[in-house]
Amino acid sequence: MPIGTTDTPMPAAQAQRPPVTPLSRGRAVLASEWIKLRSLRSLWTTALAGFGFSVGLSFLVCSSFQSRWHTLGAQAQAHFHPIDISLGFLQITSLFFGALGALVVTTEYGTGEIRGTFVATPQRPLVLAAKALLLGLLGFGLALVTVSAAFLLGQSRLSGAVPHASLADPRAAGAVLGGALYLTLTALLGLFLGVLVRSTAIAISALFGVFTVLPVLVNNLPKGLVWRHTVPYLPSNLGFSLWHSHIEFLVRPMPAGSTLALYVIVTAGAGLALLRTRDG
Amino acid sequence: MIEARELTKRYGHKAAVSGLDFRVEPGRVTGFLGPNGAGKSTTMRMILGLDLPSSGSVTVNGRRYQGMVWPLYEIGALLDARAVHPGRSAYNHLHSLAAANGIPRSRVDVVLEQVGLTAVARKRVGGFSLGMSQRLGIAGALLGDPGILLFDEPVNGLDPDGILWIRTLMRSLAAEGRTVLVSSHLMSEMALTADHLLVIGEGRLLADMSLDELIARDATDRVEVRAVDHHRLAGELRTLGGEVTLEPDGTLLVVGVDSATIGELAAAQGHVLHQLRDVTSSLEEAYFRLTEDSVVYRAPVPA
Repeated sequence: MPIGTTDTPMPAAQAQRPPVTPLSRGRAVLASEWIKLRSLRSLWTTALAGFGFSVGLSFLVCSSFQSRWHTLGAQAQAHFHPIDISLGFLQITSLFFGALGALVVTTEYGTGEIRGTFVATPQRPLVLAAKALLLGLLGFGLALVTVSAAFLLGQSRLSGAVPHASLADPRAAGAVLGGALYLTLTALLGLFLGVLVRSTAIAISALFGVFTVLPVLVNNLPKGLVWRHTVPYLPSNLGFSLWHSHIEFLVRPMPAGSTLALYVIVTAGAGLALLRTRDG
Repeated sequence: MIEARELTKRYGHKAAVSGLDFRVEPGRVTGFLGPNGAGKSTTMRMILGLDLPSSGSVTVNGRRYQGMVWPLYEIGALLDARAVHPGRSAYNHLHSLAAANGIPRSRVDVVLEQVGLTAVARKRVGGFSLGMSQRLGIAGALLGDPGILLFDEPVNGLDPDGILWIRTLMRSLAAEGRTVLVSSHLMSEMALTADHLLVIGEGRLLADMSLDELIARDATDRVEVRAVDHHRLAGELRTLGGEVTLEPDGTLLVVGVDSATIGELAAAQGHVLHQLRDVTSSLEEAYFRLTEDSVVYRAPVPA
């Protein structure tokens, strides 16, 4: 290491300091966050678990429909929808993606590493933006692979008299894309929730409550005025609208997608406000 | 250079740090000394922009930390050596820090070599001993080859080899002209490492002076005398203007008369002496006197 001996050292690394432009600053933060993301083992194990669960469930559900098709009544057969059936795993897989998003930031709070992150980059909103961008891209990639693989494997089990779909069917492609979008938005929601609560356990419990427990409690209540203006807007039901064929009372895919995105943006805003004022 | 002006941090009604004024100058090791809970870590977090001051300010090279674009070229810090994701390798940890400031990847290898972790660079940090974690933390601080270095309790939990290594490193960094601020609650360690001291107690600055000054300021140099007829000797020393304390075991503690005078007096008066010894106050004693005052009076001792 080059070393100066004067009172004001001018070490060699100083000469290579990058220019002060928003672009170079943003690129540096992205590079740093990407190194952390790809070396975060719990992220990859969660993604792998989510993949295994989705593919496995789709396989099991479709296989059982195939083998028991003749035992179903005529009405059940008429209502059978191969796309909806093979994508049912999404109701649980959203949890894996929510957890995956939360882990990106809660592991840093849990270990205290977040302080090192903010010492290196005092521009905290930039750190969160970089995390969100990378998680959005990576999450969408993982989600698309997971949902497509599960869909294809599920459909491959359906044959003969059992209706089946292929990705060439625009409705099937739309459902797979909608499902991947749902998982991506859930991951982002998990990230910003993680910023708010700073704890993996709390973030995952909250996701579990909102995405899994709450719908079970309220979805089948009498569909009065209050129900119709609240329950369809639960994140899990908005997600449902994104991949499932339309059912009465629920929101259409386009408004469902934008409302879910709005939730993500509001949570991001709250996280950002806290991040700027909170002591690290 | 680090400069604090009226730096204050309150949590609710309790002030963790109040009205700190100090400058940390380049070219020497400045020890940041105080008991646990005195506000050292809070001050360091404010320097690094992690905590916001309730009032007052602290600047690094004349600027607020939050406004620095590439801070690691100017300042490096070791806060908590264990604050690294345990599943990540040492190399990836340093690489992500370097990338955040556009520091070339080659620096990662350089600092790993410098702290002696090259052999375990690809190992997961979770398996590191505390000493290795401290070295990794220091490697992170050195990444940008910064002119200012901050170390929070760097020798905590280290074995003698590790302590010696850190002490030597800090001294050489200061000798290169860098600004080095190191916090500790271990007075003995500071006596060996620091040139200059900032002493705080209960969030207030108690002293801002060189090590020698601090010891000299409270230099109540005493002479310890053990004599067969200590009562008679005590009386004679008092007539010479000495302040004499009689310990339970018969030892006399004398202030105001030096050992040579006492020896001559003893010879002239026919005393039998068993011991005649100069006692100089240590940094530890000076420190205890300072912090003791802060607890009793809850007011700053003029620096």
